[in-house]
Amino acid sequence: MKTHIILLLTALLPAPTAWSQNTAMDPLCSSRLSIVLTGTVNGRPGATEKEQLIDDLLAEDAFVEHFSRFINASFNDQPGETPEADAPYYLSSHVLKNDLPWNQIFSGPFIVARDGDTTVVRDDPEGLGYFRSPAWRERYAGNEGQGILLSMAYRMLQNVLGLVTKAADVPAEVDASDKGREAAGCRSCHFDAWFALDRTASVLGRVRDGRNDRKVFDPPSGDVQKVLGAFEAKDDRDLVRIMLESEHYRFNTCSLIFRFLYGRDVVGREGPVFDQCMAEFKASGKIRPAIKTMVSDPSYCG
Amino acid sequence: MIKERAAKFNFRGILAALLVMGIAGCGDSVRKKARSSPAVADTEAVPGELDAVTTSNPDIDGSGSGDRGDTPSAGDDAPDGATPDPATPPPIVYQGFGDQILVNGTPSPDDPAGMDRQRIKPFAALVSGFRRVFTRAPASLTANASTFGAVPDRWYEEPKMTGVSILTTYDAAFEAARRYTADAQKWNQAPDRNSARAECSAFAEHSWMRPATDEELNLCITMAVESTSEENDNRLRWAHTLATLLTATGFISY
Repeated sequence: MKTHIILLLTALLPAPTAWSQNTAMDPLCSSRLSIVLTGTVNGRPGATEKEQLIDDLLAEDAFVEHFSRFINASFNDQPGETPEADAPYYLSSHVLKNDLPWNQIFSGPFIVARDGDTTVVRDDPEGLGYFRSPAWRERYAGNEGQGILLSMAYRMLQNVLGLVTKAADVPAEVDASDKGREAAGCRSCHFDAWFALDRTASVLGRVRDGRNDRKVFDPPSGDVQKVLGAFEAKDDRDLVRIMLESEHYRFNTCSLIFRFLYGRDVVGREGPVFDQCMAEFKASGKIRPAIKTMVSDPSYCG
Repeated sequence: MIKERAAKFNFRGILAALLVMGIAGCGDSVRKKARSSPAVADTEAVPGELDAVTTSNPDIDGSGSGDRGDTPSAGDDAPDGATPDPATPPPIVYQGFGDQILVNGTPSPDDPAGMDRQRIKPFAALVSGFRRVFTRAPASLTANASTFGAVPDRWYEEPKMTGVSILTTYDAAFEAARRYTADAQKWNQAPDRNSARAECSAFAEHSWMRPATDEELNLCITMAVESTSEENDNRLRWAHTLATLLTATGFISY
């Protein structure tokens, strides 16, 4: 009997599948679209036309919530200790609800802040996406001995460009100051690579301890620095502008979208679908059309 | 009583272990075949990629798009004897900061679009699935929501199945299937190959939203006719058979 059950269950496991190329809507596709875009399948009876269903799902609040959670989990290593520390979640929601270009999450004139018992997104001409929001800055102030904002520099590069690298744990006797980081073994990531963290951090100012355990952020010197290889910037606004004008930013955004839709990275012959996202995102600058071009493709589901 | 009968069959442990293995195996497959985040996340280029492409596209200021010119094509990496599909264009190569080449997709012709993409349903979708099949979700499922992992506020986690959550799903499926098979006279008849074929086929298509393959169907028939033969209560035999379909990846994944 056990053998039979084993055989049955083994056969019920999914085999690698190339999905049907036909364009007719089917309930399995309807269910997949609903789950992937909103996290549930409630309220989807009678969906018969794929394009309309996609538009409907993308217009739902559930999509805004689902995608914003995904973005927050992609832009942070763990949930914030306070709601406002999850600033990407709030700004993603704001951008999607107001149908703004996606780059506004990084450069829009907003501040994410606490207002009584709620967390709000406020208009603020000095805002820079969520990057100047107090709780986010506190979260990524880091612990560099001289107040250099290495942690913040890395987090900005990770959020906008998808950079992934790890901080090295060094023994206490190792000189981890800016001079020490110029040593072989450290200087590649800190000074030589395109993302050179010390160079990137040099346009972010510094942090120091203030009263009542609060952090005080001092502005950058205003001197022009070389960042991201050969670009010149004097502050975080310049840095963000340079990143958002790049193909690298669009590539990372479509990579995020792909991961949202597939739960994995691009494989094999999915390159053309990814390329469609790149073209659409370059044209519109918005998330919904970029998502739509991927899930509308017959290779996603029929 | 239900648990006693399930224990009598002694297959819930097997069920859990097999499904966990199957899901883990599926994940392994994904990880092996998917490139780690397409170059953008790598601080070092993947050996071979940079060798295979030119870096003639200096457009990193965002004014232009990727270059489909001297890029690796499906055919470049085709295994010996494999014929590249001329209908599949070579992937566009994009350029990042520091002359980094951002390549989307593995250019292997063996990896069709849409492969290895089954994902475990979020708990809410699993509940919805039970409602769709039975008009209501089993109480034991909703009462054990925490088994499926509560995601913190403002956070996202890819749903996973553990041995415990699979057992919980099976218990819930069995609870629902017992109710489903409690009244109609047909469930009081011992399954034979003909009736099992008809019921397995109908219930698989209803719950999975696709027809079962012949292989799946034959194994469901075997489950109904042979694997449950020690059970004297015919309704329970049917309930176990249907519950197994609801614990399979056709139902718990999308």
